[in-house]
Parts: sequence; structure tokens; C-alpha cells
Amino acid sequence: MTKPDREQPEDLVLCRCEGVMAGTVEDAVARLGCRSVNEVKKITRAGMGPCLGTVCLHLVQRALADLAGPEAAAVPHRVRPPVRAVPLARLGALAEHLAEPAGTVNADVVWGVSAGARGTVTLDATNEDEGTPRREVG
Amino acid sequence: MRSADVLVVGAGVIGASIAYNLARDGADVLLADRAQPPAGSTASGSSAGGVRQQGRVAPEIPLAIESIAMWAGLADELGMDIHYHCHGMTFCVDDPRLLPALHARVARERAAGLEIRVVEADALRRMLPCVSPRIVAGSYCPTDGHADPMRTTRAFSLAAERHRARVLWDCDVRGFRRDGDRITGAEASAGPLACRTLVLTAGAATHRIAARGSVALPMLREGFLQMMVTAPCPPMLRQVLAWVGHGISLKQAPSGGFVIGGGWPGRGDVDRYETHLIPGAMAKSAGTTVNLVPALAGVPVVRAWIGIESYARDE
Ligand SMILES: Cc1cc2nc3c(=O)[nH]c(=O)nc-3n(C[C@H](O)[C@H](O)[C@H](O)COP(=O)(O)OP(=O)(O)OC[C@H]3O[C@@H](n4cnc5c(N)ncnc54)[C@H](O)[C@@H]3O)c2cc1C
Repeated sequence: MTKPDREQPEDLVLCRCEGVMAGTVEDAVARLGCRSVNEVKKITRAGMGPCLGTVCLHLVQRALADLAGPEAAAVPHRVRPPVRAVPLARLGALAEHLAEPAGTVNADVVWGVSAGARGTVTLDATNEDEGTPRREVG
Repeated sequence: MRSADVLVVGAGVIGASIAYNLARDGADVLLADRAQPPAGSTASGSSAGGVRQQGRVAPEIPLAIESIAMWAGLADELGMDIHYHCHGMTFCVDDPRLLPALHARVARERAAGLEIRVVEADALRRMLPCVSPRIVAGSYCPTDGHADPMRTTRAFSLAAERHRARVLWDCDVRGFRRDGDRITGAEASAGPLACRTLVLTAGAATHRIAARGSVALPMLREGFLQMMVTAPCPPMLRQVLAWVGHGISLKQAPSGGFVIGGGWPGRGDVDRYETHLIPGAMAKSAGTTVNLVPALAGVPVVRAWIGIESYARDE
């Protein structure tokens, strides 16, 4: 007999990118008191891998619904840019373009925003000077 | 009205650890935070997690050395894996003109009791094969390291609760209650809170909250700092790296992803803990990373964020 798929046995891998088990996520909700997909993500790393959570975060939401109720499951996922993974060298090569004035930045590579083949996208955050790093480092 | 001997406002790593230590020593503690930490954009929820002694201002060095002894036993003490790794940190230098300053700092920090030394050319390449050949020397402190800031912050508040501290999440502290010039509690979204002692550890909001109680903390201002993390890679870097003059801190987290910080700026609004990335800064930071560790060129960035830090005006 097949199990109903709501049941997530402890030894099931819930987030494949980060290798997070369903039991770990359940523990984060039931024992550590996480009350949103964002909190579970921070404590367990579920959803932090290269797929950016597209595969597993709805499973986290289901665990939240089961263990913490619909309110916890309804908290929206706080999506972090970039929407699509961008290789470091490619991002680095954009430095000169990103200092361009308003509306002329081809932002699709950075943000995963598709605006046509090489369209120009206006984003409120693209027009700032890139600034300089602070002296202190972590 | 809820009341406690000590009311701690703000449950970032600082407030949570103060609440834990007081509760462990028997104090009656109430820990309140406007969110459930480690919350987005707070310093503890967005930190690079470096546990560093070197490169600090002189008065901090003895404190930093003492804290390393505490870090060693912290996971056991708090009953949670905080992913603390003590494999050293190297500040890299590519410009020979910076070498005298590097040697002078290392000498100063050694005199203060820190275990640190200058590593040059071949020895540096043997120690850090992934680092670009343009790096000519570095200062290596074997007892620097890194930890997971979000787990550490949460571990402190959970341990505080085990020692009977009470916590109030989603409790926005808006002002103080006073009796003459004594602060006797706080006005909060969860209702009034009474206390004998109030500890204000609200990170970047600290001076704003203090101002509502007519307490001026003119030494504070806020900064918006960018972080990025890459997709997981095979293990290649155990140390934490910094590159003098280039704005980068780099470490490989236990999950395999490279955590990239270094103080590139973002923008935002402290009152709402709202932050925005500056793509140009992300690009500069990515380019710097590849220049320091060329093997990372093809590795994708999977996430970027901004954290809000508060500073003494003179840093
Ligand atoms: C991007 C970044 C990278 C960093 N990297 C490093 C590093 O590598 N190594 C290192 O040692 N340090 C690093 N730091 C610094 C370190 O993270 C901070 O010094 C530390 O987290 C500060 O903790 P805190 O508890 O004082 O502040 P926060 O973590 O900001 O905590 C303040 C808390 O107060 C709460 N709060 C705010 N307003 C209210 C209110 N009105 N009522 C109730 N609660 C309120 C907030 O929700 C928050 O939880 C970094 C900081 C940033 C931003």
C-alpha cells in the first residue's frame, strides 16, 4: 500500500541541494519553534541551494501547515536575488555596465528578469554608484 | 502587566547572549524582539559569521582573544551545533608597498598576546593553494575562524529559555516607561513591560529607540552591508580570507558554498528593516572574489542580501 504523500518520514531528503532531511525540518518547526518558511530556511538551510528553493520550499510549507498551522504556512518566502544563479566571473564582468545611468542597464543577467533578448530594464536599484567597500572585514 | 528584573530589548546575538548569561546566573529575564530572530536584515541574521581576532582596534584584541576560549565550548554549552570552525584566517596582500604596515600590525598584535605571523610567497602558496599568485604575503592567525551566525543567535535564545528566561517575539518596543529619571519599563506592541533594569540591544535601531526615551547615543550610525553566497563547491578553503584594500572576506561554509562579504554597500530603511541590493556593488564584489581565488570564476552566486549594522561614528 502506498503511503499518503503528506507523511514525510524522517529519513526522506526534503532539500536535495543542501541534503536536508524532512526530520530536520520537522524538528526546526516542532522543537525550535520556526514559524515561517524563512525561519526554517535560516536554521536548516533547506531552500538555500542552487535551485533557490524551487524544489523543496513548498514541502517546507506543508510541514509548517501540518505542525504549526495555516498561518505559519501562509508567510510568503522572502526571495533573495539573483533569481537565477549567475557565475561569479560573469557577474564581475558586469561592473562597468552597472554603473551606467538610469534605464540603460541590461539587468536580466543579475536579476533573472527577462526583458527580451537584450532588452533594457529599469530597476530602482541599478542606478546607484557601486560605492566603495568599508574598511572592516568579517 | 508583564514584568521582570531585567528586560532585554532585541534578541540578536548580543541581546540573546546577554539574556542567556543573566538567566543562567539566576536572573529573572524577559527577552523581547520585534520579530523572531535571526530576522531578515538584522545584523545577526545577515552576518558573514567570521570569528576574528586579528585586524581589530587595539582595545578589542584582549577581549577577542578571551572570547575564542568561550567559542570553543559554546556548542556544547548551548546544546546546538553552531558550525564553529577554528581553522585560521589570513589577511592577504598583493601590493609590496603594504608589507611594512602588515609587519607592523602583526608585531603589535603579537605584543598584545595574539598568535599571528606573516607568511610569505612559497609558504603562503603551500598553505593556501587556491589563492591567486598575485598575493605576495599575508598575516595568518591560526585561531581565527567562523561560525553560523543564525544558528548561534538562535542557540543563545533557546538556551536562555531553558534557563527560564521568557521570550516575547513579534514584540515591537516603542518607548520607555519612566519614573522621574529612572527607566522602569517599556511600551511595546505586546503591552507595557515593567523591569528594574533595561538592556537595549536593538542593533541598528538602538539609538533610535534610545532617542524616544530622551537618551542620546550620538556615537551610533547605521550601515547597509552586502553579502553573497555561491553554490556548493568541493572543499578547497578551510581558512577565512581577507584581502587588504580590496573589500572582501571569503570563507567556505560547511555546506560547501562560498560566503562573500567585505563591506560593499547596499541601501535601505532601518525603521522597517527593508533593504535593497546595489547590483554594481555585487558585480565589484564578484570580480574581487575571482581575482583572489581564480578557481571560483565559473561558480554561480545563488543568493545575495543586505544586513544593517550599527557603528560607532569613529568605527
Ligand atoms: C553583512 C554583515 C556582515 C557581518 N560580518 C561579520 C563577521 O563576519 N564577523 C563578525 O564578528 N561580525 C560581523 N558583522 C557584525 C555582527 O553581525 C554584528 O555585530 C552583530 O550581529 C550585532 O548583533 P546585535 O544583537 O547587536 O544586533 P542585531 O542582530 O541587529 O539585533 C538587533 C535585534 O533588535 C531587534 N529590534 C530592533 N528594533 C526593535 C524594537 N523596536 N523592539 C524590539 N526589538 C527590536 C531586531 O529585530 C534584532 O533582532 C556583520 C554584520 C553585517 C550586517
